[in-house]
Amino acid sequence: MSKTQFAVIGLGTFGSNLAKELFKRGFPVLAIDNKEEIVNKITSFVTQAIVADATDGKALENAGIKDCDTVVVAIGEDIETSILATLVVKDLGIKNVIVKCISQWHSKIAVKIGADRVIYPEFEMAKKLAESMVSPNILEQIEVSKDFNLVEIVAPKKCHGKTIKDSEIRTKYGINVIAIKKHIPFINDEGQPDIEEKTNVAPGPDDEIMENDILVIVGKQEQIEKFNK
Amino acid sequence: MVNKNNDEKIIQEQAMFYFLNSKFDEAVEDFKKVLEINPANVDALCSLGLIYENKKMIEDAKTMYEKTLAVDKENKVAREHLNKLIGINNEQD
Repeated sequence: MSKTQFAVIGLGTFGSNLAKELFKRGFPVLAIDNKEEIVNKITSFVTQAIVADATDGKALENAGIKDCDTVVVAIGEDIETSILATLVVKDLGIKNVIVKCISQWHSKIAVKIGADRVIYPEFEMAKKLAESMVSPNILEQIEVSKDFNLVEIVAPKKCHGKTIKDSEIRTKYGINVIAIKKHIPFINDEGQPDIEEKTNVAPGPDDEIMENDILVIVGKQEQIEKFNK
Repeated sequence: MVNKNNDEKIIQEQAMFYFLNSKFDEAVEDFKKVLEINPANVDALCSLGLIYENKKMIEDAKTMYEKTLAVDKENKVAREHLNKLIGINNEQD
């Protein structure tokens, strides 16, 4: 099976970093922007970088966008261009189009004209930052569904020195532990002290939770809050 | 007569023993004693940074890494961990 091919239209900070990251992970990436100096900067970090007007269907077709499985429209600031580009790539038959939006109206229009997914990086980042500021023990939080969250949390004191079974995480709080991250101190090759992270994926009921461990858990928001108290 | 160099070495060895065995509270006490004798002890400064980072005492960890780098600006461990805490990607070009 051939690798999924991606295209990123709009190479601002978000778009260019997304393109570079996808390429770094071994996927073919076509990067498009209408400014030559921006395209020149990214050339060596992606498969192909092209100067083109994102609203010009013919130009996008010539750039080879039809070969891409997923196209990300990362034109954030100019809503009109973003919407037109979304329309153009959908008309070209791209199956999966992801649009970076800056407002609710932007996302509503994008979905109406066929966007398969909309994202709001700034809104999502602000939400995560707020969560980490009010609950410093919660390091990362991903909404799995309307009710369930996947959370990375500093192991609460009540669990220290206990096994997963003995700490009653599942029976008392209805929470599943997916992974335990342990921090192991060591001396590196240069003789300097350092700490490395080791992850126990899918830990068993008899695995022990120690002070300084990080737990990756899934559960309902209110259950997680209760567990974290 | 107190031999400061000797004391520093002995306490540091004990602190490192606690650190490597994840006994962080005991290690902190001893590393602090090391710094009372020699405030420029890079291993004590950096180890305290690592322990504070691990305890999510982020501001204290940053201070320790900054102090480490003030003494040894080439210290890779302190630089990498400080960048991570500030949010600077080490791989960023």
